[in-house]
Amino acid sequence: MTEFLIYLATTGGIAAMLALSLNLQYGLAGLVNLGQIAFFMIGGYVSAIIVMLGGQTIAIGILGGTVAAALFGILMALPTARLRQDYWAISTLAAAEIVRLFFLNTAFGSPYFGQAFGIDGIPQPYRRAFTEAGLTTSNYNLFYLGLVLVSLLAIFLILRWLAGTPFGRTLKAIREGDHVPLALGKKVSGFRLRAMAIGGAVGGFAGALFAHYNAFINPEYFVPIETFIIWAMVILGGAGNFLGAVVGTVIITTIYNSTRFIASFASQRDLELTPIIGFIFEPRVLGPLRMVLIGLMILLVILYLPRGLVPERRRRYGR
Amino acid sequence: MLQVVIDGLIRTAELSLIAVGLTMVYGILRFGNFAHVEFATLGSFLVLPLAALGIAFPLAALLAIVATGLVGVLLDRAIFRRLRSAPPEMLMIASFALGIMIRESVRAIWGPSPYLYQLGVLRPIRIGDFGRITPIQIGIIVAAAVAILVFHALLSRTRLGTAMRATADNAPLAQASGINTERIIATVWLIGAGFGALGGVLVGLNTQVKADTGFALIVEVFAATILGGIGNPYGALLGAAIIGFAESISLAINWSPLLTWLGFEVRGFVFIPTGYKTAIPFAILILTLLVRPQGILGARR
Amino acid sequence: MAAEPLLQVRDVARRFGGIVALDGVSLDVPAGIVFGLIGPNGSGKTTLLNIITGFVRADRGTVSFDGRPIRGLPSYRIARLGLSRTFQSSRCPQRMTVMENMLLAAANQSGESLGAAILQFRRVRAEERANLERAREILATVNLAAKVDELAGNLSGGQKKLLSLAQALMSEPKLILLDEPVAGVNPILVQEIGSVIRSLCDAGRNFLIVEHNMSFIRATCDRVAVLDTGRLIAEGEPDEVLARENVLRAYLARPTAEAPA
Repeated sequence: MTEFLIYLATTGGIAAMLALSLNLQYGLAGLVNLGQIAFFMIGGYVSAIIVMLGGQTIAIGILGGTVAAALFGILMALPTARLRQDYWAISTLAAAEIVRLFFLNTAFGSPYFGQAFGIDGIPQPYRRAFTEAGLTTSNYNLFYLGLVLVSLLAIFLILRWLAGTPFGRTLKAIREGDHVPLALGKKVSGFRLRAMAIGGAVGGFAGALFAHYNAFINPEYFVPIETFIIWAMVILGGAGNFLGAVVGTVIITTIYNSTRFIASFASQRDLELTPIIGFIFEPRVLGPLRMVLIGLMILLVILYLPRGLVPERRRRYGR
Repeated sequence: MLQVVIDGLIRTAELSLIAVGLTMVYGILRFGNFAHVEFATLGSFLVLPLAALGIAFPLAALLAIVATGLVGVLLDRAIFRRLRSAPPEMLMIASFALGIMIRESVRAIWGPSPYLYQLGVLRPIRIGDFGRITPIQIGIIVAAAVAILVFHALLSRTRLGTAMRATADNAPLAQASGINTERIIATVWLIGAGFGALGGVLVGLNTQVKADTGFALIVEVFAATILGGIGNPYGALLGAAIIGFAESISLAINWSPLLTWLGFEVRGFVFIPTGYKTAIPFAILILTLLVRPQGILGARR
Repeated sequence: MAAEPLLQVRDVARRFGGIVALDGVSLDVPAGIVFGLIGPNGSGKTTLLNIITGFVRADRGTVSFDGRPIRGLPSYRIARLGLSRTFQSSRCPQRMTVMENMLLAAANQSGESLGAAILQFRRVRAEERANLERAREILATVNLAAKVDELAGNLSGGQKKLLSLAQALMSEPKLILLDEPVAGVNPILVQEIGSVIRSLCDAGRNFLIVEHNMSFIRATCDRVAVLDTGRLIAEGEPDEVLARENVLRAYLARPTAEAPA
């Protein structure tokens, strides 16, 4: 149980980085990026490839994954100047699927490296040192959790600070339309480009951390619905507020994984279940139902709590 | 070669019906409804219990289509009507959430495995030496053609169609000239969701009835819609034809002459790997957006 | 009057589809005055404003500002040359506070570059402090000092117009283009906006104003030009021009016409 909670906290921490990244893009700059998961995938794959095929250190791998995802963010940002918001949104979904299809159809060297098989045996940082020191896997997992949480804190602080700079302020102006910022002399396309690059870097970094933690990745991990889950975190928490993104992550991760407990709880107690309740607790029903629940929650938030649980804060200048 | 044409026609039939509904709702409410493709999924599944009751397939399909249309109207009343003045990105996200709710509800109710419509054994028909076509495939193409003709007549020959076009052009003006725009909006949802359902039933006839039917088509449908100029139903038909045929033709073409002409060393035939089939409409979409974002029939603004 | 006009428009034309919006308009806006641009709905005023500020491309003609040709430049670069504009519907970001809107409008902020925000944070902070002071002064002149922490979206229509004007001032422009600064504003605030503009002009600011409110134009502008169906039909002192027969006819011909975009 504790092991599972540590696993949950680690993957949740990584997901929170994705939520922070999306909050920068959507919450601040108003960019409806439906291909967020592509950053995560690129970060993971590029890092794994650099380390396993390039023979580089894990640190270089993670850096490479981060940079590659940032470059992909820039690529995605290029058409924003010419496209309407909804067209751009659907093209980000398409772009992310193209990335996934690329990795799904490409083998790197051998048939067991890439394609549908994915990448297995991705090295974990300092793993050997832990083994040599006689420490257990649990110790290692705790160490990785620490690594993730420290990174998360650093990303959180950096992004929140960025939001308060003139750069962040201009992003907030851009989310309500191009005209006013353009008339005030802001090169809107450049700001969007940088928002996507930073968002990409954070997403790619999270992806690399995930790959080296999980030691295995495959294209199934990066389907479009994952992007929606990140969206749910940001919308629920409150777009525009970085703390909200983290709060949203905690809640959505809990709901997403709680079904597992509910199912095992129901079967352990061998409850006298009515037919309808019994139907709901079947795992094949429970899986989809949690997505229905998350979707419903997002709709309710949009309808009744459009600013989220932790609304964006105003900076006060009054004397 | 005939097979390529048949595949292209069927794809066109499926995509155009779904795309027409998407583009109509867009034309009036000005937002890309990401939940629209789920009407196809819902429609294809609603046939199942009706058929299980012993209702003949065509009637069951018709009932499922009407039911899905009504679901569309209900969802507009419950959700989108409250968001008429919300910023478009909120509508997009709400529709994305709604789409997931519909899809996962279908999965929860009907389970993860796909279904087949029980239509008995139908023998394929040989067309000379060129290839074969099954009666189902003929039915798909005919059903889509009839639906599109009915739609065209509705839009161009009836007062309702005029009112719909007026509302899409300029909703405040239409309202001022005595058109009940909320009723027109409801009609558009009814027709749009219904057409989507028909598209889904056709996909189910051609292949299987799956929870992923709609979402697997989302990029194709948006690509067809945007390609034809969003908000323009006739453009959506053209866009659907382009996407439908591009998929089947590009896989059947031997690309080696082109590559040789471009200066690459090529041996033998070069085909696009089928694994990339789904990437073709995505690439078309992105190219369209980069080169002519207003669509083929859309006017430059 | 200065020999070189601040803004010079020569033979500018633009069609939308088959509709002629501007049909060869030439206009000189000199420095030191409040210049009014009037005309019935659909006469092409906003299109001209959009062409001058780079939001719409002209089919032909030239525009020069402060002696430099600016036609074809992207709008943000035109703004950086010192040509600031407001929009008809006062679109200043609604989910930002009044003060954030003001700070946004300051020109040449080094904190907008990521490198400077990280490496030169002292300089950025000093700039912010200076901009804050200047913003407070400007907000005081337009009577918005009490609203610094209010979201722009919560302001009244007239206050939004004032905020747009204050934003335009914040970038220290050489010429300010106001698109309908008093449309939909209550009469008392109209007078107030007029006197704010007059005193700013006396302090050396230059204005080009597009407006429908004739008494406002008479009271505020030193000179007006009249557009009708894409052509300039009159120019001169407000009282004299507004009494001309062809001007009156232009307005009477289409008293309730809808304004196309």
